[in-house]
Amino acid sequence: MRKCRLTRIIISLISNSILLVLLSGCWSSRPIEDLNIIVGSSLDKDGEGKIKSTLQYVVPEALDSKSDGDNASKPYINVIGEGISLEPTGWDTTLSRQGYIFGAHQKCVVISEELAREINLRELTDLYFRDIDIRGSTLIFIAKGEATKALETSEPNVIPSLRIVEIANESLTSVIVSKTPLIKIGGLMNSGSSFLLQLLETTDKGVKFSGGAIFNGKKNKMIGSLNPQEVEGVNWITAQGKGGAVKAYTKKSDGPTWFQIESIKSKVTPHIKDDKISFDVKIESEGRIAEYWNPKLRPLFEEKNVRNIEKATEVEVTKLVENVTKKLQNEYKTDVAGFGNEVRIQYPKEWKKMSKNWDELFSKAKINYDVHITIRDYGMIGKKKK
Amino acid sequence: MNPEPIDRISTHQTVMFFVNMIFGAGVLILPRTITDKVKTPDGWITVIVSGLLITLLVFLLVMLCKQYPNETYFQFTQKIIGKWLAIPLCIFIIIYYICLSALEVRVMAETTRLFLLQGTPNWAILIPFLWIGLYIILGGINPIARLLEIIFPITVLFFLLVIFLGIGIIDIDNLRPVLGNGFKPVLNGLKTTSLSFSGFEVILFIFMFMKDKTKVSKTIMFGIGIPFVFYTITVVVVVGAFSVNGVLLQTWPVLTYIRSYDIQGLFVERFDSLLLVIWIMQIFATYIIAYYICVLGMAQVLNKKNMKPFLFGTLPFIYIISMIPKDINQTFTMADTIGNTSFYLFGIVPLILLVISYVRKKLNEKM
Repeated sequence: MRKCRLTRIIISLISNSILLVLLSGCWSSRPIEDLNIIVGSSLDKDGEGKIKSTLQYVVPEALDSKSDGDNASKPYINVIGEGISLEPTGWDTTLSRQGYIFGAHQKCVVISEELAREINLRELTDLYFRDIDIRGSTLIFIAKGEATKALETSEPNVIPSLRIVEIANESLTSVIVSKTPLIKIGGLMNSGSSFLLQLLETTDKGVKFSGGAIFNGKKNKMIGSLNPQEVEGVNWITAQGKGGAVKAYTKKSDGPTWFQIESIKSKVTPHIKDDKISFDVKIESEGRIAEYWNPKLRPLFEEKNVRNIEKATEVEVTKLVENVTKKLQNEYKTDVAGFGNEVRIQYPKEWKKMSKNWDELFSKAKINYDVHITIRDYGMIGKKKK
Repeated sequence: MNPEPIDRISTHQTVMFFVNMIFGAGVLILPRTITDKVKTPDGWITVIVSGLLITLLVFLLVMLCKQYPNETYFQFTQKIIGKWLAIPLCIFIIIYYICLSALEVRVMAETTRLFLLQGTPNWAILIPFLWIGLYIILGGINPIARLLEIIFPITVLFFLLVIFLGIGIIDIDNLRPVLGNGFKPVLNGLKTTSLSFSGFEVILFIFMFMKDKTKVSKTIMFGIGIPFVFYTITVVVVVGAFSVNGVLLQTWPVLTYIRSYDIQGLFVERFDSLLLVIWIMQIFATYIIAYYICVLGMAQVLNKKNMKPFLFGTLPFIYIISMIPKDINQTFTMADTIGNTSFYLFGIVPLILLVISYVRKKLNEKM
């Protein structure tokens, strides 16, 4: 018995020590220090008609060390590669920098406006969809001017691509286009519908979100842009605003008064009568009075005055949405506010025929807006001493 | 022939056989294959309809099995249609199961090579997988049943967790309109979805092993019901996240879906690897069941009691067949062919057998 137990112990010891050696090894492992972890990238047009791609790698060591003002090293490094499409640009960077490129943590792609107007977006983003590492949650942005500048900052300890993504994820105000990850535009591009992408503006101080880039669904190219107010209009139609404020006065003498948005609801109802399409859009919003500069400062404890401000806000919102509709219908002839989607859902049979020249039909459609604003409260002060 | 099997499995274990056999690599591409046929967001309705049809079919199969409670499909076909017709049929079924296990192994290797172990050669992934399968089957049906009981809760838990974590990226508008183009598109997808339930035929081979044969209807309800709920959830969620046109783009829609959401503040960011590691167990389950059935078939057709020589003899063939497809498209074609074969082999042939057996019985009574 004893002997038996002893051999058992020896066998298990040997097999365990073999396992120890075998299990700790990994066939195709790569040490993390040797990986170039991409967090963001940008695409620009090169002078010679090639594509200039900037890859932003994180430098983990710099993130850890406490920064001491000026001599703190940047936590990121931008590497530039060139080529006629994206794949060769990636390999181009490996000529000047050691290590594998690792794309699983890529969070954003910034494309310059010039490139987006020239090259089909589906072709431009093909690699991102096809690549096995890159995730579907990667966000796509368009930048005015040079895109590579959007990936730079003078502030220490800030990784520019992560900052952009963070702002887009928060989307605090209603003047930002709702974020567009790869998977979302993948479906949109494949179905041929037009859409909006977030537009960035690079200033000396860094990046700023300013409006949206309009993409035509058929051509998959950028055809124009919307300014922040117009984007706000689109967000009111699609009820995507999370917060923000709207002008709540019509006369200048009523002074700056602001309605702060708490919630927006909208309902788009399409009507089809003998090949003529019209839409009824009902927008409802609740919020509060955030600022009230009105020189007369009418007491808000009185319901009548609150109603007046509601009326003024309704007028302003209607102006916003009508303004952007006019621009989309007349100037760009493109539907980026999801009207087509409503037709698809509510008139699936008719949509089959209409989807082919939807943008054209949309530009002729009559759209009626009905805005209803409710002011829930007016903050901590209500009345001036008489 | 082994007249009285010593091994018995409980009702619960029979359910596990059903579920684990039906789940396989197919679910990873299911949303695409369905939407490709249906072309509207109604794929999930197709899943529901075909689930009901399959349940009906399985009840018919059980009616057949109940007439020969102590024999498997391989044995009672010989009694129904005679040796000369039955043996070629059995050989065909055996080849089918060899191919099926080879396919499962190949898909496992393919996804592992893509997503988990880039750089590891195929044989290094396949061979341990094959050997472990061999090892468990050496023990007979009981160890398999017990293994399935362990695998099932783990895989289900992780699958649901990973699917529901991404609930935030689902847009209900992508699933609307419901039945917008009528019921016809739903019918178009019926064959594809029914094939995703293939594996239900396992009852033909394990009915003999069931301890309590009176509870078989309960077994069917759970055995088909669990995959049914799973498939419906998967299709709803993935189509909801990608929209119809988005799903059609994806090679592995379920994996892409899992890679498409970020959970802020959670340490683990890459759930796809997590799911794949877990799902390999499920593929393993399908592989060992298919392997077991084909070896069982060989032993029973040749009237041998010892399964071991067949067990070792089949393994190289599984490896070779799994290496035949040169690329991913050929692998998908192989999957399609196997699916179509199963439709005839287990959807139509058993029904014919059922009719024949009834006619024979009637004739015998008259005599």
